[in-house]
Amino acid sequence: MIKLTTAEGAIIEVEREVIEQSGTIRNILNDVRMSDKPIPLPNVSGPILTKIIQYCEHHKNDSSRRQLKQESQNIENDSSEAAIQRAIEKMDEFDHNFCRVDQGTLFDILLAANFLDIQPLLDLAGYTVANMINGKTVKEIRDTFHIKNDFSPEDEERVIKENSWCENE
Amino acid sequence: MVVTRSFQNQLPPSGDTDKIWEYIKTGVDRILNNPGENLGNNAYINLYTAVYNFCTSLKNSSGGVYYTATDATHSAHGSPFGKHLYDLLKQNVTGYMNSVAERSQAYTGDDLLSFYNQEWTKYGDSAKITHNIFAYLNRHWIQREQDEGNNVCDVSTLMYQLWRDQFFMSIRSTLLDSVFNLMTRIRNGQVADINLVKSVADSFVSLGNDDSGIASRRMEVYEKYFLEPFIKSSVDYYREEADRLLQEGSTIDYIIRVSSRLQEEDDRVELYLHESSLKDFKDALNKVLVTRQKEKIYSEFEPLLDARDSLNLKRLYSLVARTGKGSALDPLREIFSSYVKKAGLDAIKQVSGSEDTGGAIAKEARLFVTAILGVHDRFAGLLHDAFDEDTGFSKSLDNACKEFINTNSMCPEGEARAPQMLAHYCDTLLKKGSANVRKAGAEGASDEDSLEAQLSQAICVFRYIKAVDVFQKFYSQHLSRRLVNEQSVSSYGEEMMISKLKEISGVDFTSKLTRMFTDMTLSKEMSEEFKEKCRDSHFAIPFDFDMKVLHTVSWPLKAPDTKLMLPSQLSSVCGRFTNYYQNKHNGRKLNWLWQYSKAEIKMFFPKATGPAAKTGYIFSVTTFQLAILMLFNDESGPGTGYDSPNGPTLSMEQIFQATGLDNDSIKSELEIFCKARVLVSSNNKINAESKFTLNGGYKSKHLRVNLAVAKKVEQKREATDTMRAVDIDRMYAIQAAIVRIMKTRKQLTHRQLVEDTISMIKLFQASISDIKKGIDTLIDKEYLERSEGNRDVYNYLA
Repeated sequence: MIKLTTAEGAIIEVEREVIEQSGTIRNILNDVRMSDKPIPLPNVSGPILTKIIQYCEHHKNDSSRRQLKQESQNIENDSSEAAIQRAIEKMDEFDHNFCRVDQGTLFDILLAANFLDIQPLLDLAGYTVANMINGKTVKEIRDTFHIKNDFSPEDEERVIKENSWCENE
Repeated sequence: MVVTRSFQNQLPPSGDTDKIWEYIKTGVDRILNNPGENLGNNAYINLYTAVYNFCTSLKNSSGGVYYTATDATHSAHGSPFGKHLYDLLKQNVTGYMNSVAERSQAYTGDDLLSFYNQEWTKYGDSAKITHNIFAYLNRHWIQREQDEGNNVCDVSTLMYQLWRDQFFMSIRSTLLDSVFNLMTRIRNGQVADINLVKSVADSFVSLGNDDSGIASRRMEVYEKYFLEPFIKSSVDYYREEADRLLQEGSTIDYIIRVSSRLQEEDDRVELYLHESSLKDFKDALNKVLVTRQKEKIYSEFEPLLDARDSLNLKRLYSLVARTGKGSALDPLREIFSSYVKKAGLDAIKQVSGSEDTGGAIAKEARLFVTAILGVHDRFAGLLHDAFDEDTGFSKSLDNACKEFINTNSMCPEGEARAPQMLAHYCDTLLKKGSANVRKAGAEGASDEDSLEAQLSQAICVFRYIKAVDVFQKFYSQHLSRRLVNEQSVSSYGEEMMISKLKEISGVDFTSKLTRMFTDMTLSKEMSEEFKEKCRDSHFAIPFDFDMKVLHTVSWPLKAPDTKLMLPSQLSSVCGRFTNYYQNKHNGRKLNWLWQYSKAEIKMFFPKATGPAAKTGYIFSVTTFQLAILMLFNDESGPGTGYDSPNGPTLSMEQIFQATGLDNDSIKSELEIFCKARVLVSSNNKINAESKFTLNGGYKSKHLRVNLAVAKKVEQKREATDTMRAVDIDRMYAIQAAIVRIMKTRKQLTHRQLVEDTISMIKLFQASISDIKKGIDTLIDKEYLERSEGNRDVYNYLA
């Protein structure tokens, strides 16, 4: 068992096999070789770490990570809409439910997956966010993510003009 | 240790990139200087986090998106801090590399190699850990730069590049000099640590992990900066040694020395050179040590063959073979071929016309085959022992054998004596009671085994025979005799030989031979059946009767030249058999071949003493002899017309009257009888005036006497007949081939037709004059015609 220290200083234990889906943890274990000592994760809070371990537990028997990576690369080369569609289809029920969280939690998971280098989870969270944007107008997106419009009217006009080629095909 | 402790300090807050870099730098320095010391989980994760924080800095400090449409000069994807961190790391490692370069100045020779290897190993560990600590940079900023095709490499590669550019390049030549120096000592037989060379070579290989990432260029650093100079220095070393060796000693000494030198290098090179370059290295050494001296090495070949020095021949062969199995070996193969040929011709010359053959072909054949086998085995042995069963040498041996076996002092060109003698030799092996060589077989080996071994040897010679049709004819002649006379040493041996011949020359070649065996089996059955029939009809055959019915096509036997009136005792049985056979197979003609038939008769002589008086003598005789002897069996005395106490006295004329045999046959049989003193001639001659009578006082040491001896004249005549039969068959074969070719081609020039015919006929080499004759015959028979316009072209007439 591997001990992980959360940002709050609490220790969570997890099977090595499970947490090795994280590239960062895998590197530490291989380079430092002190698997009995706790590994501090100052950037990850307890609740988020718990979520992430849940994800890793569920996916610990997935076929090789390389294959997943390969798939995600193929998807990148696709048209984004179809790619998102396919990625979403690929998700199993667990993944759907896993992403049914509030925005704050979702972003924290995204950051933690990035920090811990768990590519499939990063993809999953990324696609979920992308899916939230898909098909929405600029205003709707701003509303969804609580983004203040900081463009000056002139700026906005120019941006709309520059990007008109991709609108309303 | 101060470094270590300060390092455990708290992670600087994100946003303050200068502080964060300070923190990272301390860690990196520690890793570089002491990669073996464990960082511990905290420090490791802190360094990783520091890199993470550094890369994500701008977002955190400004709290907003920095990418705007106006700000397109920025990297499209990442924070400019990625590049900043990359540059800082590069600068820091460069500093470290310079310090290593400085420290290296203190060393030379083996010490320098040790220092280099030690630093190299340490640096490898550092690079690995640093790479992982900077994983975030690798994954994001570097990855994106690379995706865009920018010339940025991952941290580990960057570090190897810095090693190469900042340190390695500056000490490269000193390093190589140390390597050469060490190698020279090893080659001179001194003790030195080859592992030092290996590590250096390995490091050169790793340094090929170039930013270009192109696979084909990966070995460039190693090949250009290590392999090339290394090979050059090795070649220089050995060029000098080669010149010295040739000046000081003989070429043989050179061959021996160089063989062991190259072996040493072969064994050693795998210990230190990268596997991809083994071939280049070996090729270079082969060139300087072997190819450069090849003329001298070639010139030693024949003397070594003379000396039968297979050990040095093997060395010589292996040396030359190292430089390639193709053309380099060809001069040797040629020398070998003509050497074998000469040895073969000499060996045959030695036994040809030697005293103890006395002209007997059986003996001559044995000497011939033995001489061939002696030469063949000797060089086949050499092929195995010294030339590694090389296919080129094997071909040379075969060609040489083909040449000397078919034409030599015993076998004049064009007479096809070789196949005849081989066929004779096979006969001596397979014939019962002949003075065969089987006794010479290895002790302990069973008769069958040694027979098989000897037949295999005969087959070995057979493979080189050119006129195999001659062999076939003579072999079938001999075989027919063995079968008819029941003289085969074993049916196992016969079958084995046939199957070996079939293996080499195909079913067509042996089909007639096989048919002969079938006839033998069928005859046996028929004989049984006939005897049963006789018993059923209460006919008692007055003697042991056995016959063989042979198919004319398969057997090389002829009907007798002379008539024969059978003695009555025989004619009743033979007549009965003829009837039986003709009932069984309507329409078949049965010819009795009396000249091949034999009988045993028991004769009592009045003055015989000892056991012969009681049991009589047993004579093995031919049917002709039987017919003659039976005439002397008539009673003599008053009223019989004969007055001698020894039975009838007969003139040749009377014998002719009674037997119907022609004069020559009667004469030659009487010669045998008189010589054996079974009969006596009234005037001690054999002519029209002679009167013959039984020799009452006949005596012999043996109770069993064979009078059915083959006559030498007959043997000779048979050989001529057989050769004539071969010639006839050849004419047919040539004509058949011509017709077959013309049938498909319809029209052909004379030259083309001759060429095609020669290549179509496999059993013998068709001579051009025979082919011309064949063409003429076919024109006469209107299979072909000369083309109207062009006399040189033939048309096929359907």
